[in-house]
Amino acid sequence: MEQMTPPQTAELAPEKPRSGPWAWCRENLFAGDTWGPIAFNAFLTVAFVLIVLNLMGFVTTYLFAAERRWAAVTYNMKLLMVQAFPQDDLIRIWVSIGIFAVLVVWSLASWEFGGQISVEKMAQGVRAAFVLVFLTGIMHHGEGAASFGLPFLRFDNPADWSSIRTWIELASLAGAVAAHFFAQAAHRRESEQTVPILVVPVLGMALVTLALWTVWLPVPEGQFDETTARIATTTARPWTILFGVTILAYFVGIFLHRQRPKLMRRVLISAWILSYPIIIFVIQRDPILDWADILGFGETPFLSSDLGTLLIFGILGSVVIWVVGLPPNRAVTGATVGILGVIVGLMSFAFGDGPLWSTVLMAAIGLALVAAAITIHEPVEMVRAAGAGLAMLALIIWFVPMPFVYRTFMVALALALLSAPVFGGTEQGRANLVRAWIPISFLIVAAFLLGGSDTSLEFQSTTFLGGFNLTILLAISGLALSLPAGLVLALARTSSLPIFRLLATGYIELVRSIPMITWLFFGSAMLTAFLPSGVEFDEIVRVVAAIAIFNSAYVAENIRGGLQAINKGQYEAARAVGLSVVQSTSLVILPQAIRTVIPALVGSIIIAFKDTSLVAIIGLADVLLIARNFVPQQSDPNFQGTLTQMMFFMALFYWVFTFTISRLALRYEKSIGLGER
Amino acid sequence: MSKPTEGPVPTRPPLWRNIVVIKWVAQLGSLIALVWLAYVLITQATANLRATGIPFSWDFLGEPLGVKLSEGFNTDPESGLEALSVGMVNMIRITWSGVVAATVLGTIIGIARLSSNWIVSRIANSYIEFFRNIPLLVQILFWQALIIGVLPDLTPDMEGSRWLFASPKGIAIPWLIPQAGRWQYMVLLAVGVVVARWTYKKRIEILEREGRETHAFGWATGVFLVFLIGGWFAHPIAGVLGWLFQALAWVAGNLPVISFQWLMGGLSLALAAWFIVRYMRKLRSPAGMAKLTDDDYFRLGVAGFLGIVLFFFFVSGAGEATIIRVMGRSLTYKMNWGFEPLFNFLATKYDFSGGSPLRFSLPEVEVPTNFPRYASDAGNSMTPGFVATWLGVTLYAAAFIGEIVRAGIMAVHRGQSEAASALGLHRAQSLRLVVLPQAFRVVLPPLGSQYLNLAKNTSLGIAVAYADVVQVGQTIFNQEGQTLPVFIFWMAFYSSVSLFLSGIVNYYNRRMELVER
Repeated sequence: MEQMTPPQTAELAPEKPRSGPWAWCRENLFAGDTWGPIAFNAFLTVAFVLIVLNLMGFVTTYLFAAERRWAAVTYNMKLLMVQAFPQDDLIRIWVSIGIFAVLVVWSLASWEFGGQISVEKMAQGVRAAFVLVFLTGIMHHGEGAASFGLPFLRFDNPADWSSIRTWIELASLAGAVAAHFFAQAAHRRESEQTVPILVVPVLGMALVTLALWTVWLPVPEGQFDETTARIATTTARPWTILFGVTILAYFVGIFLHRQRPKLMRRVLISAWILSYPIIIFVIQRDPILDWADILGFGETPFLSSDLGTLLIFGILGSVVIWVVGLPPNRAVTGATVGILGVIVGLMSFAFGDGPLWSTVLMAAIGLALVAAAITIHEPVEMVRAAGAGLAMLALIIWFVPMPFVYRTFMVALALALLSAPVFGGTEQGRANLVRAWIPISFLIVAAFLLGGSDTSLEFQSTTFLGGFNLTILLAISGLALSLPAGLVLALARTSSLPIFRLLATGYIELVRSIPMITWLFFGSAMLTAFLPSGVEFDEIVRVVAAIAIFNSAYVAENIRGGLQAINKGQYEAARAVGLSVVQSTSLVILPQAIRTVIPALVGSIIIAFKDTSLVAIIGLADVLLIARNFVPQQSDPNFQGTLTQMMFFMALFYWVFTFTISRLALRYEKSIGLGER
Repeated sequence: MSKPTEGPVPTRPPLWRNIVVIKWVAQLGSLIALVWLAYVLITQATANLRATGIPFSWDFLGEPLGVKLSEGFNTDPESGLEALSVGMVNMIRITWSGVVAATVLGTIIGIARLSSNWIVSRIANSYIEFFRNIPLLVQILFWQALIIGVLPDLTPDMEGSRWLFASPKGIAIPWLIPQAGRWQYMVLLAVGVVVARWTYKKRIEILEREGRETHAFGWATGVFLVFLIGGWFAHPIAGVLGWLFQALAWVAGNLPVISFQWLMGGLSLALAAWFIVRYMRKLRSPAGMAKLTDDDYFRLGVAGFLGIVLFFFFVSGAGEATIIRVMGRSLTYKMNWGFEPLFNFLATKYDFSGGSPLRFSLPEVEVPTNFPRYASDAGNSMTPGFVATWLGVTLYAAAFIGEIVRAGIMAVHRGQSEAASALGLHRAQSLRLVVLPQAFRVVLPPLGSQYLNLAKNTSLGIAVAYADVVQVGQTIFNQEGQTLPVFIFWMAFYSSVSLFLSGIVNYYNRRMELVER
């Protein structure tokens, strides 16, 4: 955009449209145009202004009435956010938030998120906010409560309300006038003045920090000796430290980005992926859990401790995957098959108290595989057959009675082995597969630690997870499972193989036609019936599974939209270049398809976040259930009957989050130029 | 990747490298694996449930339930099936009224967002941003909290009728209460709609032939009004239908079961044949028959196979045996596929008795024992659960529908409205006659999925104790422990609702498309 106009054309430039509040009003509020005569527009304007002001007056009158006890929100904030998380361990929550915040600002620095916002627009926004506060204050009627104060200005007596109101009115009027003149001054400047857009959130955070240290609220009777207290006694210090660390981290991030931009991005992506399991399974894990048992120097023997299990399967799996992915070599493959057969046989002998036939069957299949590997003459075929055979073997082990975590490992190994011949053609692909196997092993062990049973450890309940913490956990876990599942379903639904297409279509349509709450009932009340007897997952894990079942169908439909938008020529070109089906899908089709559906995917992320609130119905203590049932119904008489204002707070709370996500997504879409292609 | 092969190239690849063989082996293999997995899971579930002492059974459908429902056409159901049908009717009631209200409100908001009046468009925009970004459950609970916490209580001195009551016990409004004559009246109204539609078409035909204004819409309205007013007095005529239903009930009751078996069997064969014929016709072009691929053979084969299997399933009596086995002995009185009880029920509704079909009535508060409450037979008193759920789903859906309508209007080319105003149409006229009909075509598919969402969202009424099918189902499985049958029931019900709604949308979609061509 050219900002400066050359001087010679300035004389020919059209007359500047008249500006100023009156001209603006005439154009936008009382215009007579094709939409109707002036009288109609004037009527609409006046009527709607009156309606909105009355509504806002009613709401503020209600919110600041003397009977409202907003301490119900502030005093229970810890309950709302983390429920029963032990007070002494709250540092874990703060560390989690810190990791998240640092990752966010580093990503902002690394991907050069920027953009400028004009000072004039900011001033206009501030002016509008002040005007709204002023007008609403005028419409406010009735008595209010002295529900807050500043260190230098304390209102302990409800009778002070009218004076507070006068102060607020005067302050907002002064603010509006000041912002107006500031905007006018900015408007008159030659060149437009801008500030980086990041200034806005920083200012917002700084305001919150300031409020945490200065604003005081009445304390419910019998809680403390004082009658008023700062709105957040335990939050202010960590929040301030967090604020400082975040700003510091941003500048460090910019420095690192300037030094090694590519490396930083790569590290950041891995860090984002790893941050989820680390936060959930390491930092926020049940505070009661005994580390000694997990690490294998407690009472349980090392090999059946969690670390031991992780090491066995991590190393064993890596070796097997590596060998299967090697360039075709008959001897090596045959040996691997044989070794795995022996291991499987030994394991079923060691852990299995089941029927003899399963051991015999496995031995037979192992022998048959060895025989097949020797008789097939082509090395490539042989490797594929061996991989498939090993996978079958691993799948069969599912039915051998042994700890559930081992069974899960075998299934994961089977999947990895199935994909080994496909990706293992190159050195790089093989290394990637092995690299993927390590975090998968970690995830499996950690998942069983958190929510499963039947590990060597005694099963710990997840009651320590709750509140908004649980909401976020559910949203992220559900998405982490449903995005890959949705991708597979979308590919199956658009594939040319009729049975796969039929199965995927049936799954998607069936799942989508039923409301989510019934799936949550399925997860919480019925899923256990389908699992082998004795196996029982924690309710949170079952609910995450139900959310994933439901969301994956929606994600699949979104991705399908992108796949169908791709020109047929792309498929044909990819084939013509000689790419295999897997290659053309992953290198040509999917990158384009995903790019087109980013807005829809963001939409489903927002929906997933909103839908987590449904777990309140089945009795999981998420933030909504706490706000609706725990706080208004607890025995503390201070908070009884605060249902309406808790729901006001919940609405605002969810709104702020969802609105922020959607606005950020909109900005991102614009910045990468979506929709312009 | 592939090395150049040495020696003579074989004419056909070996079996394990033939792409068609690999394709089908892989697919059939996974299908078999999946079926096997389903079998394992089901046996596991059966064993687990038996171990808990509550084996899978449908008996609760026919047995007395022992719970009361908070609202519905029958608050004291005699059996599980009856309770569930009350829940289904409640769900359909709230969906239907919600769809109508959300469509009206959403259209207004969508148009308002495009208004040139700054205040109006801003308010519409804020409405959308506000309601779209708050979870529906929070909204429903919020409305419930407002109803319970803010509205004034009913007091004994309120006894009597008024136009509106709003209290923590719910909201009561005036209503037209259907009377015994409504069945006859409904038939006459349906006839009226058909005749009015026919009149409209005739008038349009005349207009197109002779080019003069024929006031087609006015004519159609007039004809419908004749039926509306005339039917009020003449509705006993429709009692003729009672004889017809009696006859049908007699036929259904006296036909042997075998005839129903053959009917269903024949139907499945006919369906399969219809599919095959249609499929073959699609493959035929003026140039001749297309070569059948393995995909085509698969589809035709599956269709034929399913048709034959279903035919034997029904004709051999296995179908009936399965239904008895699945639904339990207690439900076998509904055999003969329920035709006889249905026709008998209808026959009792149609006779030649008079009486007005509808009664206008104001809501009323009665004070039986010091505690005031709404009279059940006066006006329409809606429970807090209904009001909260209805407000929630309607306002939530209206925000999305507003966005859809706006996008639809914007998709209509600017030249269209400019041309309309060049022809001298008012803004309102051009909106109604030019822009909206074209926007409707763009709007319809997303609108349909919003209706589906609304229908599913009504299930959140469970949070405020609205007795819809999910809440009733939950009550039942808390009572009886039969979780899986209830889940299967939900699946069947919601799938049929989805199929029904998407069927309607697809029908209109196809008609719209035809208009364009």
